[in-house]
Amino acid sequence: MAVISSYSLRPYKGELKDAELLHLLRRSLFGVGHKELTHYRGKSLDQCLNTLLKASPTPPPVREELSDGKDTNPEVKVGGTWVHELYENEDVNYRRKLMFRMWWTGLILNRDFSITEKMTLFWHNHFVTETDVVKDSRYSYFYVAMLREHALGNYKKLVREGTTCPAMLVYLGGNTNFKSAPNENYGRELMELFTLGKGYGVQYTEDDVKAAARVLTGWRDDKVKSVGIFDPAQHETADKHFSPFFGNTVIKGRSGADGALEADELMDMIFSKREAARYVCRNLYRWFVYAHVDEKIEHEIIQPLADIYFQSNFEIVPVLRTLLGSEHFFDPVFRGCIVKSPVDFLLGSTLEVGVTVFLPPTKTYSSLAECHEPWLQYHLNCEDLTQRIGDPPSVAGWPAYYQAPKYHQWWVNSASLSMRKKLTDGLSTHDGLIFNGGMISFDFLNFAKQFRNKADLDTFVQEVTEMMFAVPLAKETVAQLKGSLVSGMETGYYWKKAWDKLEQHPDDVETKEVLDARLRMFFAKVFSMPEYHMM
Amino acid sequence: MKRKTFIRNSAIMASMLPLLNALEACHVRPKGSSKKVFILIQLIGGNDGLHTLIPLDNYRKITEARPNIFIPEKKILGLRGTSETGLHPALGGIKDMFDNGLAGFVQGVGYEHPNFSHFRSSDIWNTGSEASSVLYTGWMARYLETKYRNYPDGYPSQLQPDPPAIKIGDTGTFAFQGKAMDMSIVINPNIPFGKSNAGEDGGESTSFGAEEVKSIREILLQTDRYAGVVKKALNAPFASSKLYPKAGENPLADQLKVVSKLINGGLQTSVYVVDMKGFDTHVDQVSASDTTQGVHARLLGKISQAITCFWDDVVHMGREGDVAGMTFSEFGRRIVSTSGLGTDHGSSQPILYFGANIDKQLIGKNPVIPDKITVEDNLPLQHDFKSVYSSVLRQWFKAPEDVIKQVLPGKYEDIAIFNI
Repeated sequence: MAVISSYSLRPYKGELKDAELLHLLRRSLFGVGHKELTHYRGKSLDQCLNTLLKASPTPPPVREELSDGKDTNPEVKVGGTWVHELYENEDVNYRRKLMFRMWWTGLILNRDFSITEKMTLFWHNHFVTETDVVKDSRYSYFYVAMLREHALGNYKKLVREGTTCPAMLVYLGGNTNFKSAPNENYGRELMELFTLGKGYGVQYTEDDVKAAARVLTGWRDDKVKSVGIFDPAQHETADKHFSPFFGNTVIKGRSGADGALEADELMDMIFSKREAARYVCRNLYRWFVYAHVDEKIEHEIIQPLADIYFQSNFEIVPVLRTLLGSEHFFDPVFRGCIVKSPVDFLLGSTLEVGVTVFLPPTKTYSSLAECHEPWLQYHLNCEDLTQRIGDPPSVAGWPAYYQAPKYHQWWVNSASLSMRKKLTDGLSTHDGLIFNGGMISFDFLNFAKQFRNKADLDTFVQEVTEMMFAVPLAKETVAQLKGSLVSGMETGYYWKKAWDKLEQHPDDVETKEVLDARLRMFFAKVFSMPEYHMM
Repeated sequence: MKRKTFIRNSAIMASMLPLLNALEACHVRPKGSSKKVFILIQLIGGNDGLHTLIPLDNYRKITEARPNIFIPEKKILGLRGTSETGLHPALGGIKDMFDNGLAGFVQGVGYEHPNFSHFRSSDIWNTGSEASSVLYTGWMARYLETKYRNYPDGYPSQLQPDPPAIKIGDTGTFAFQGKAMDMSIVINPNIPFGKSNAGEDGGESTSFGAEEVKSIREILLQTDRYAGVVKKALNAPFASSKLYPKAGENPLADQLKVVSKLINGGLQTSVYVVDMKGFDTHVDQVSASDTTQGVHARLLGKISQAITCFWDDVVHMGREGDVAGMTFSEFGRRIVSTSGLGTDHGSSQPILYFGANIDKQLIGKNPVIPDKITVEDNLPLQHDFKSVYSSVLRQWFKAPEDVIKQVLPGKYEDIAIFNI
């Protein structure tokens, strides 16, 4: 039986070897490749956290991306952004949604060394809208831009802004919340899913939900400017009374433009509850550490973290710094205990190993940084694997993060595992897979080259398996994997010779293929191991 | 040798397989029409063909080129119907099969511009490429792709419920690597099928990860589309030949034993690859005190024993007409021996084939060893290995010409190996 040794949030003071770094980076980035290890090795834990917790620069907005030549909006030149432009018809909007998904996936595939992309996805799962339900692609763009802006910032601000952002107003019916007939949808989800949760002593009432709905009457989305606007005529101006759970707060009703300020007071009221801090911290724990939160974890880890969160007025960075820098986080019992989400599996493996993009029309090679169209296929593949970025199955997010008792085991079933294998098998062939305009294949030779001891067979296999497996493999399994590299020859001598030859003739096709053929067989097996699905 | 027709003769069987009558009869007729099965046996490391199929008319030159390792002439096994070619003494079982029309050899098989690198040459053989070109798929996979279009989508199917190919061993083979994926199931004879490795399930898990991964392992085992049919075939009642040695003594025999079970169990899989390591005998190919013994002798002995046992199973199943196979290696070995009682990498080699539908038994001429032999000399090329492959595709698999051309672009002579 595995047992947790440390329930302490005290800063981890142990060694930061590759094993610890890999654990930290697997959880905070998507995939850990040589680039990341090189960047982080040698840093102290504090320095690592500084790098991780530094927000990425704001990316440029999504541009016209589809290369079929058709402008989706006659006023917007190819290469320009449509986020401020109305769309003339649903076809145009449909194409923009594709481009939006492509853009977001591309941001993950081209992520830097920061935790920003992971946090953006975390907030998306926590503060959900669904792109297809929101419908207006511009709204979805601004929703994600907002998530990313606050990814390493202040959750209270995020929720305030998100409450009246056009995407959320559409998604949860805030734009049809009139004083004559308040719509409780958002008020409920705001408390139940976005801020306070259920259980753990949380006791807001049905009346609280109704009252919150009345506070938020009068908002709607402005289709020209893609913002939320407040219409005093639709706003309920009576006082809103809340239950003892909220200290019997009364939000005074206001008429005119000031009615909009009631939303701010609602935020103040909700975020005055420590339970709000605990709820987010619990979700953060599940996302970054492990699915199972028992009483001891709740008391020793979640509550103290929540206190930090609460005292910082809902700044997430101090919480992340404490949690990811803690003895508890680095307890070896947690290594490899989370099942990789589809994004972690597919985009993570791409970022871990590296891929080449081959463009058949021009017979040239490109990269995922330069060639954008394959990004959309990554999005579609993640959808097939049941994680559609931008469209969780419901307002509760992806079941892997909340559905007891399976939690993260939700990602894996016979269909999804077969599909994962099919993808990695295909990407592990010489030609690779067609990904919307380019042939994508793993670049094993380049990946393998960067292991300093690659020419020594045993060391190579050891280093690769240590880098790629968060759960160690059985000795026999490693021996079998090694067999793929030597085609039955009983020493590593020929393996070394092959690398020596490559050094002499780095561009010789035959020489490269001798190694590549073996690496393909080896890595296809690596990706299909049960252990590879853990992080 | 003129054995064109299959001999099903109790006298022959009695002389070959004295214990046959002792075996229990538990025939399991395969479902549907009997499907043809071909076994490819890869000898890893480069088999010394000159000591496998021995050109007796060159004997003197062999003793001059290999003074420290040549086989004493009187120990060389004779072959029925010829006095010019013999077999290594360890190949008694193969000799018997040959004498009964159940085995044959193609001489001098290789390719132009031989490559002496294990990896590269092995890839050339497995991909069916020219020395100067690089192919990224296995030759057998290319053939299988014409029979299993769009694999893996749509498979298993009603008409094709079984794996396209099976590799016995602990790793896959390039020969089965298709465009999209490996077209084979790999079965490790040392691990009960469907079980994971030792150390994966056993013992206490000290991390949550080790606990969580068990669920995934379970799902993967259940998810294997072919797990059911393979398990069923493996478990079908069958009494393996009593000639087999104990498990672990002869890895090739262990592998072929599994193949027998699968064939007997009714699997429609038409091609298997098995393999054997250890042929890279630069040194100690023979024992210093007795050149009929040593590493190579042991290896050949195992081949002989394994194929004999396997054929015993095939006969017992009544599937002689359906099963055949051949050996190959990434290259033969050098004519001149090394000072370490071995041989360096060579080029051409004889290919052994076996089955009940053999056409010619000795294809090609004895290799001629040059008079002024140097360490650089190699046995001459007589047959491009791709002509062996294409002949097998044509004669055994009954592949149409356009398919053969797709699998092996180029013109290759038809070699009369099988006659069905």
